[in-house]
Amino acid sequence: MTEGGTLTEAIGAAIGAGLTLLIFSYMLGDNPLYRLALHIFLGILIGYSFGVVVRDILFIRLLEPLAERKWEFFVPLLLAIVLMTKGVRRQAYIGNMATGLLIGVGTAVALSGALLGTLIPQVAATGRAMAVGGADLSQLDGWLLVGRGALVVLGTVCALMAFYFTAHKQRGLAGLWSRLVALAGGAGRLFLTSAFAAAFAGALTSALSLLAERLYRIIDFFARLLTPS
Amino acid sequence: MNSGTMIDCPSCGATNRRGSHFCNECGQPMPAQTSLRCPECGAANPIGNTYCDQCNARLTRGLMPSGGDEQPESAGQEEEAPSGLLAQLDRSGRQRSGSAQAPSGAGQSFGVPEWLRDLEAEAGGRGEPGAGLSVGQPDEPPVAAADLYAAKPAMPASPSGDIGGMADWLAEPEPGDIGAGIGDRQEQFPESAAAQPPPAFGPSEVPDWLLEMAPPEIVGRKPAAEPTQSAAPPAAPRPAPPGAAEIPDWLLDVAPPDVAAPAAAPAGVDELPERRLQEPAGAGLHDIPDWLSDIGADTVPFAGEGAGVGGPTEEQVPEVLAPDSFGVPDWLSDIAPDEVSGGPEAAEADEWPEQRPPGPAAPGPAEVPDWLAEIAADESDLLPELTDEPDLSAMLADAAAAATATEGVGLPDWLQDLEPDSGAAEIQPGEAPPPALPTAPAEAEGVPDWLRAVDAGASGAPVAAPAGGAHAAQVPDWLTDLRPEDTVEEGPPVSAAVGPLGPPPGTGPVEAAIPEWLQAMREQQQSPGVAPEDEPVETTGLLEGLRGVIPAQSIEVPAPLPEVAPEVGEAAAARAQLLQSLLVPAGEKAPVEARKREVSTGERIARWLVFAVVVLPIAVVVGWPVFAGESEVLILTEPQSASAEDLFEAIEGLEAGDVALVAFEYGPAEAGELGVLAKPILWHLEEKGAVIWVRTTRSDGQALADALRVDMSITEQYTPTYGSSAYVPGGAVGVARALARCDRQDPGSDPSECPDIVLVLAGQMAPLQWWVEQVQARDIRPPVVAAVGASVVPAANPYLAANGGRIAGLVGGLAGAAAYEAQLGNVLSPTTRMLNGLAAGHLTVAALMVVGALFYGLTGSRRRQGQ
Repeated sequence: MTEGGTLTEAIGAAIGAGLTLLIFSYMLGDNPLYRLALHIFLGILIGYSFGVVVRDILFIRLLEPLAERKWEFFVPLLLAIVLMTKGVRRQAYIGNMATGLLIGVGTAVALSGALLGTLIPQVAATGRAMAVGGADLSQLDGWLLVGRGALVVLGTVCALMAFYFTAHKQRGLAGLWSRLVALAGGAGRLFLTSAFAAAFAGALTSALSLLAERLYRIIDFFARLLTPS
Repeated sequence: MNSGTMIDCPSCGATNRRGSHFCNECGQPMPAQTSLRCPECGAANPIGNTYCDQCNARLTRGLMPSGGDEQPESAGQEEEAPSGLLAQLDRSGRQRSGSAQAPSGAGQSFGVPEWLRDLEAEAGGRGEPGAGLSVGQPDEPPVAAADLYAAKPAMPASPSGDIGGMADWLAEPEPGDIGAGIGDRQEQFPESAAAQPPPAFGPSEVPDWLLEMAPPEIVGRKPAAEPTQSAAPPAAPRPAPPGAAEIPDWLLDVAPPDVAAPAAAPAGVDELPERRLQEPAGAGLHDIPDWLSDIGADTVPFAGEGAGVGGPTEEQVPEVLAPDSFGVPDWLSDIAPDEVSGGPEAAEADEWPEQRPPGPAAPGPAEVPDWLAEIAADESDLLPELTDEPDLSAMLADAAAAATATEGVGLPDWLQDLEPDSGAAEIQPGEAPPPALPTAPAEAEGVPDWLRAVDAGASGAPVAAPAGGAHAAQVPDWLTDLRPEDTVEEGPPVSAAVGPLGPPPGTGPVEAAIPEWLQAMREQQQSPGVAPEDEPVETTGLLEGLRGVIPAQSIEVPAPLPEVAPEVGEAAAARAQLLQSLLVPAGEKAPVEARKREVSTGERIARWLVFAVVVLPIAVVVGWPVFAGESEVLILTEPQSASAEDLFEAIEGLEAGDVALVAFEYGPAEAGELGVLAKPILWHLEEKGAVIWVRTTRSDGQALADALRVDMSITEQYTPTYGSSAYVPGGAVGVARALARCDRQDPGSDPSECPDIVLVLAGQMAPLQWWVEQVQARDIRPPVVAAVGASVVPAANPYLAANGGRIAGLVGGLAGAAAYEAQLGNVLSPTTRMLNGLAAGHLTVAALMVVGALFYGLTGSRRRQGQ
């Protein structure tokens, strides 16, 4: 604790440390202390979120404009009221229009961004990986660049082949193609497995990072208590 | 009107086919006797006939008492015209005994009681033997039955007092008198009436209808107002129902001689019908029992007013007086001697016409009921030899005993009362002992002529006692026929007082039983090995009390079929398992796997062990510098990342006043990691003089931003300044709204309001994608840098510009934060400690994974070998 720390900060730190330990008690199994901390966390989160929505959305962005007689904001108010009918099964059909509007707008926005921000750049990047013409093959970096490019392309294609389930055994050229597709699909599953493994490692790292951060906070808290400043 | 093939119902008058036992309209029992049997030849005639179709004998009889002036004639008439059943029977007995005055038409012999014979003798001494009712003269033209019951104010008076076949006294009986016979006798023999003391006969013992006939002085009643003789025109007789039969003589004057003599002179013969027809005041004629009235209005001469319902009781004596001197009720006619039975009585009956004294042709004797004829024929040997003076009472008693042995069904009450107190008479259970019939005194006053005639005839004509006695006589056929077919088989014995309508009141309901005709329809299925009588009795439901309705059957559970496992090949089983795995949704399996199970002690120990192995190294590495002082920090890794350098360069290129849009897209659970990562970047932005705009698509983003600022003020002693803070909901749509100022095509947009750099602090991949994609969709594309968690780094690497993406710089996790701090020249920052702890944790996890793989690798092969 830094110099000049106030009592509220100390209390806040203590509460945080205590709740952290309660959450960590789950490592010993499900217990009421863990559930207590969990319920406190979820309750505060939902309550604060509700307050933010009511203040920032309902009052500031809807009621205040209506109070200023900006009647165009009556449309979102109507849509919001209609959307609430989704909670009643018999009258759920009434909110279909508002639901359609939400889905339509969101799909449109997301689709354009996905095309411009993900699909096209990724395809372009895959193509650029194949462009090994400028690589200096006399150097190891050149070969690494080519290898990396080929690996990217191969991994991409094979991963897509892994989702091809309609291939069936045939004879002749068709059978050769089926076997090739099955082989690529197998390789694709290896790439997918590696990707999932990397994601798992990242999640594990994130968890350990959180653990380390929490332990640091707790040790620092007790060190400050034990060590007179 | 009854015709040859159709008969009328006595209850509703509907026409029914002859021979029907029940009316088709109302369901009431039809009279059993649908025809009149000729007393002479025994031929069956329609009920409407007055004379026999075969022998022209008179079929119906009337009751005509003869007055005192007519004693000789009445006597003659009595001889030549048997007016009553008893008289007829008596005559038959006389004939049997050789008496010249044997009446005709007697089918059976009745024993005349002593008192009756005494009266007869007295009457005979006075020259009026058998003075009593006499039917119309044989020479008289036949009178239609309808006319007999027609109310005729005045009828031609005959010397004998007959009124067109019906005595005046019978036409309009007056209450208060017992009987015309008695009254006549009193009129005819006033001396005897005066000499004779009133009969000591209690009113409780004598039926009321009999009391009504007795002279007032006998019963102690106020005498009638004006006893009229035959000369006085009788009052309008009550119209009797058509087809009424004559009242037997012996039935009318059943009253014993010791009956209290009426106070006044007995009513004339003309009044008897009225007395008998009208209901006397106070005393009241007893109601015709329902069984008598329902038999047939055409035969029952008189169904008095207020006829009792439910059958007569012992106290009730049916009113059998018939105003009509022609019609004899069927039930009464049956009592008459049966010449058809072919017994000796029939032969005697045949002799009667020859022995009939000259004079008016004696009317046909009343028909003897079949039941009586049968008993007489069957039990003739039981009957004592008839002497000149047969003992009627003894005969009745013997017959009663005999009948009791046969069927044990009693006679009607009125017939029961005939029997004197005879010990041999069998009394039905539940019945009160019948009143003892009073014995007529030797010289009874007011003995009617017809009764006297009976008595006289009884001297030689044995009158057989009714079969079965007065109490226990078998049920006549006509009565049996009236009984419903589905009569209860078990139940209290039907007494003589029971009419065809059912048991007397008080006997209660009879247990129901399945009728035979219904039983025949039942399937002949019986429980195997169970006798019908042993079958269980139903105790509940509609079949309660019945037995054998539902045969008891043992519940046999069929033996389960042996399960034969189908033979399935390995290939088929493998395909079946694959198909099942594809068909069964994954979600269905989750509940089974997620089922909470109890944690064993070994598992608890294992958990504690893992916790210790993982947590302790991290804690030691992280806390060592704290407890060991400011010593060198064991740094296992040197933070260095190319992407961190790119990020550093991107921020380093900002100028003072540039807008840096910082997107706080992580939650509280990720704040420990992202907060550590965000602190040096925010400090670097603050150092560059950039204006920080806080934007978040999460509802708690703003709170986290504020918490980070507070934490920095505490730990870093540095508080960043947020230019603006806003919550932009809607995911990608909100991000697009936040970047609306970057569109030159937006009319309200201002390029200067477009951020110069976008820093995305994301704990998940989706918000990073939103920001990256939406920035690419804008006309003005500021550089996007990202500080993400360690879990997002693998997914965010393709978006790096080095990899062809649109992210200028990327740092991730504690390593990225440590690397960025190293770029800033802060090596011994807390981030480095946490990174050392992360490294220790990595080493621990790696060691556990290697040890576990070796362990299961070695033991797994043994497990597979064991399987």
